[in-house]
Amino acid sequence: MGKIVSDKFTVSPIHLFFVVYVSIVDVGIMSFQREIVKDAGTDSWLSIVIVGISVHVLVWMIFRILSAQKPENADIVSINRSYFGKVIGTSLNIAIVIYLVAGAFVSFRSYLEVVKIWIFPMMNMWPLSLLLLGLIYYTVSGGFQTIVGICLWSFFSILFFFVPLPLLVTDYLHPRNLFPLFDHSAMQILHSTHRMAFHYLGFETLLIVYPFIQEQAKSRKWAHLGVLSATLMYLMLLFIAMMYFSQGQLLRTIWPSLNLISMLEIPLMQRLEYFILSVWLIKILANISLSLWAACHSLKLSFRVKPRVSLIVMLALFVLLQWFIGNQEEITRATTIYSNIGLYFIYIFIPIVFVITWLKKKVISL
Amino acid sequence: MVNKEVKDIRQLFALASRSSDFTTNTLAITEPPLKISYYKTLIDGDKLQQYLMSALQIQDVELKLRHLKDIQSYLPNDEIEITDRIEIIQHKLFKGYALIQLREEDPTCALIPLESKKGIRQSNETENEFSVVGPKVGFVEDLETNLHLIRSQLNTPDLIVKELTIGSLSQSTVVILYLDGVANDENVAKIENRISDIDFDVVFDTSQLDQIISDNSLSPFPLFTTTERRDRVIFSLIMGQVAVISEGSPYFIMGPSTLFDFFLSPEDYYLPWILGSFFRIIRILGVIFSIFASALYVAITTFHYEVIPKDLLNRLIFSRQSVPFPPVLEAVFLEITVEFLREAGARLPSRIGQTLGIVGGIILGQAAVEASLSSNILIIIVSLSALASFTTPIYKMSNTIRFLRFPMIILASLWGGLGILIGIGFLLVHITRLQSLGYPYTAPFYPLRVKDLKDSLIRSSYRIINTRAGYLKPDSLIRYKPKAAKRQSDFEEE
Amino acid sequence: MGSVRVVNRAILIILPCLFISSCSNQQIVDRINLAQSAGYDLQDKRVKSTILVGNNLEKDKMTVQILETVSESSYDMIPRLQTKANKTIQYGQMRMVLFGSDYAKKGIGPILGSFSRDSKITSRLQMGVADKEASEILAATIKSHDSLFLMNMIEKNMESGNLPRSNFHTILYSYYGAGRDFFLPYFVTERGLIKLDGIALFNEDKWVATVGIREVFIVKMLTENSRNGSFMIPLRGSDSEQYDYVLMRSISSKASYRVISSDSTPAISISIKIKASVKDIPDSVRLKSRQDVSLLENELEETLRKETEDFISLCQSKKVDPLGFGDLFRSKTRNWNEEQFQAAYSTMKATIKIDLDIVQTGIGK
Repeated sequence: MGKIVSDKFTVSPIHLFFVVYVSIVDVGIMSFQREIVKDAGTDSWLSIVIVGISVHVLVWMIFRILSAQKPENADIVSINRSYFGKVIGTSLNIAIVIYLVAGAFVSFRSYLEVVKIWIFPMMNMWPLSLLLLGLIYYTVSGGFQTIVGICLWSFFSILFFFVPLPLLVTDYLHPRNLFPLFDHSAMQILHSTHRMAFHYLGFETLLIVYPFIQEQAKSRKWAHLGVLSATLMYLMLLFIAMMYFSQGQLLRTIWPSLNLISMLEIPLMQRLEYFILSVWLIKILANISLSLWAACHSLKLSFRVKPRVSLIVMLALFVLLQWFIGNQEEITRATTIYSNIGLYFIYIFIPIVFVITWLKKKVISL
Repeated sequence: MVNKEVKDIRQLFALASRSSDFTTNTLAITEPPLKISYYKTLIDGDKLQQYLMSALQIQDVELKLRHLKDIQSYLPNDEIEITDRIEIIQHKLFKGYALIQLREEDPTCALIPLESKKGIRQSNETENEFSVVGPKVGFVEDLETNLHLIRSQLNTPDLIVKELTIGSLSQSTVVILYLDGVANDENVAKIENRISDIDFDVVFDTSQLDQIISDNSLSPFPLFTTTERRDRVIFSLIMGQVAVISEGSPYFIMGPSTLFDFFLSPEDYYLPWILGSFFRIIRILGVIFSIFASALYVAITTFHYEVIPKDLLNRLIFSRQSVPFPPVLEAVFLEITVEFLREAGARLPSRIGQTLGIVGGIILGQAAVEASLSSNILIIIVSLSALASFTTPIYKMSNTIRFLRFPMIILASLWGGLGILIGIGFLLVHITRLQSLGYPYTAPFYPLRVKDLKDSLIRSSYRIINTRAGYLKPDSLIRYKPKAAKRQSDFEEE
Repeated sequence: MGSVRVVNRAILIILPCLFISSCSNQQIVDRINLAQSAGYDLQDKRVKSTILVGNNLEKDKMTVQILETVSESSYDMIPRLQTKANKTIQYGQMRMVLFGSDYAKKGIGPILGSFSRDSKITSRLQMGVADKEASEILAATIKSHDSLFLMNMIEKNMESGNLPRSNFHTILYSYYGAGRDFFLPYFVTERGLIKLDGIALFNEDKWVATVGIREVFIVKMLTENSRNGSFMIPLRGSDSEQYDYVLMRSISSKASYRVISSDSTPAISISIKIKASVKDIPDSVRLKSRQDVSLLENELEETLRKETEDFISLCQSKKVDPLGFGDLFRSKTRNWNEEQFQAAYSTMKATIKIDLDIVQTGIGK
């Protein structure tokens, strides 16, 4: 431990934008609208704004925490060790690794489930998932730079399809559905905020990738931009879905974004959702690889496990877990458990570390 | 080891005289008589007459030579070298030099260049990388001519030529070219190290070096650009790349290259920038079409009948319904046919090849449809994508593109559109992982360098592309200072 | 080279799996029967399902095959029909569903529900109602050699005729949305020919009323910013008792709604702006001066206003809401309650203001 990352493996600050954006936006973007509209109806956009702002605050805290460290210790593994002692610190690190692997698995499994339902209802998913695991192995073993590259490609591939969306469905939009404003109680909005917060999980990988960013001071702005553009993406898709579907219809639609896309037609192709769902693979690949890389890297930092070995173990774990978490209910349950833990992680653990950092500074300056 | 260590000159003569084209003569026109030895097959007889005989014979009297060095004052050639180092003597002997000795046992020889240019193609028009606009100067198999072509356009002392000798049997000279003060020294050193580390027997072509020194041999992608065009080499030199050529090859390789370099054509720079950019985009679309079109056909007809627009549906079903094979076999069969045609066309003499290509293409295609072995929609797709793959300016890359189709078709036949995307996933990860001389292959898109995008997907105007691409880490960024012509209109008048 | 070994090993594991997996999912496009149009009828409390399957035996000519089955419910249509077909029947290209009149009166909710959950059903599916049996109308389209005859008919009429735009998505939008009801195109057979004869208005999922094709123009005008559509307007001749007719063609129209009061007797004002061209004016009408034109405009406005009022009161009497008045009130009222509105709907007052502008009257004088 305690080595500054060689220049050969780092990326320039602008890439942090893609990393943050990709880590936030995952399969949930296909289905989040229904979950938040269920509670807050026409006011659910408020919950996105609230979560967005809170995540900006958290990102600010993370940067504060990390920049207070010595450059060779600027990652959560070393921070846990030095703040909480060897025993607690190490167990926290193990918890973080498990959390990251679980996050990757949940993405992986839910994507396969969407594919199964939309494209291949009859298919045996085993060969496909094995090939996907091979692809994940190939990506993660390429190292951080490769993963960031995939983040970048996936950002553009998705942008390419989602940005023209509002223009193409304008005829079917009913702006009236956005009204009346402020028709819901604070409790309802809070509920939907809670649901929305699930869809922001993932940006905490920042705590691990930070040493791999060149000129970290400059990168701050890109991280915030990443959060902002994820928020804008969510807002845009929420507004379009709310205007495109009537509320009763939206509550019956599990994947509003996909249904929206299914309206599009281009001269050589209709039913573009089949296509976009496939393109989404690149996005999911980036997402999973990032988490797995972070997990492997944390293991390397805390136990000096060879990343190649730990990666293979993790992928084997995926295969095992896929056996146990087979149907949609189990996936939903796993997702909910994962997301709730994630919320504790970002809204309780990060502020605690932040306060400790702040107190330490105070003590030193006194 | 074929190449025996030769210890002294006597042994060299003993080994060489086993071959009948090795000649040793005694010239009695001087005092003492000179002993001259050479390979008949390597030297130019005219030169022997002109440079040597006539120069030594002008005097009526017999020349008195006390020293070998005296020869130099009589001969007009300044490349004469006098040495007793046996490895140099041996090397030069095989490069077409004649050895002159004063006495038979004398280990010191004068080496006189008499190399013959016989058998080297005289025409240096570009044959494989053709362009309509712009110069058509290409390289030939002669190293000196090639270097002459470069140096005569780049009139700067900063153009550095470094010679290395590679090949245990061929002893080929390999030349590294770069612009000092532009190319990053690290890149030069890297290439130099990699080349001098090579152990190989005969270097036939620079493209062999390309494979030997490449960063990743497990990739279908070429990692160095290959060209036979002068303007292309010079352009990459001024952009800060390093060029390498081996003796006897008309091809330069340039590195570090990016994936994008393979889709640039010099013509982009000779046409107005709007057109240049347009053609460049067309070319890239062609590549994408070429890789994915047949795979997409297989995916849609095998799995996703839902995505076919209703107006196209009937036509597609009609064209396919009497074909007895699944789409994947149909597509692979046609793709292989196209590959046969291409391969046959490349091997046959050009005239026959052309005719055969047309005949084969038209007749086979027609017959395949008639015999219900293929749907005519697929024939259109396959021939269009073959055509599109040839828009790539660099032949090596267009081979890669045609190769990539096959895995895509197989994946499409297994998982339809998702299979294609898995293929794209592997492809993206692969090119992201690739490095050319340690530089990322996908620059300037990843790592993203916004400033370098001005000459990537589009070729901006010369006023904007006045700097070098930063991802090559050149020593100086500015190429030239653009000055805009003043606009003259009554609006701007004051 | 560790990575090479890993790659090799991975290939060894994966390759055999590949070939086991995929065959079961293939749906090669020419080896399946595509059900492109379907019909549902009620026959002695059992459901009769009909599908049209196209066969492309000749170039540019399709033979349409009709398959029918009777079963207890609408859900097992495909498996039952499969027993009558030589290729697998797939419905991923289904673009038209027609309901028989009895079926539509009983309620089409189950079909809407099951289709909305099915990812194979496209949002662009069209639906319609037949005056008698759906199978009868579907059978009548066989002669056209087009298994999508009805769908094409609907889409062309939406593009350039009086029919308001709708498809499966908009039907679901109104069906599941609060304060809205949907409507479907209504087909009749006339001497063996099929005719689009207006729209069928639904309350929830039951067919309750029908509007003729002429009045459909009003619906189109009220529901969308339409471009096309024509309307025949009777004009009382200046001297005779007979009516003259003017054919008005809408160039563009825009309806705007305003809630005036939303208490127990809701009130609403609708203002419609139309730009129209008038063709084939009878000789009795002169359009020489600006006054003439505004005179005609007034007369047309008056007729349209009356028609619109009639349509709205028809909706109110049948308790259907195809224009989405409920939705309008919802968007303007906090804590809107659907039941309350339903109760007050029949007493809702609607003020209609029409602003018609005649822009061009042909190229001749």
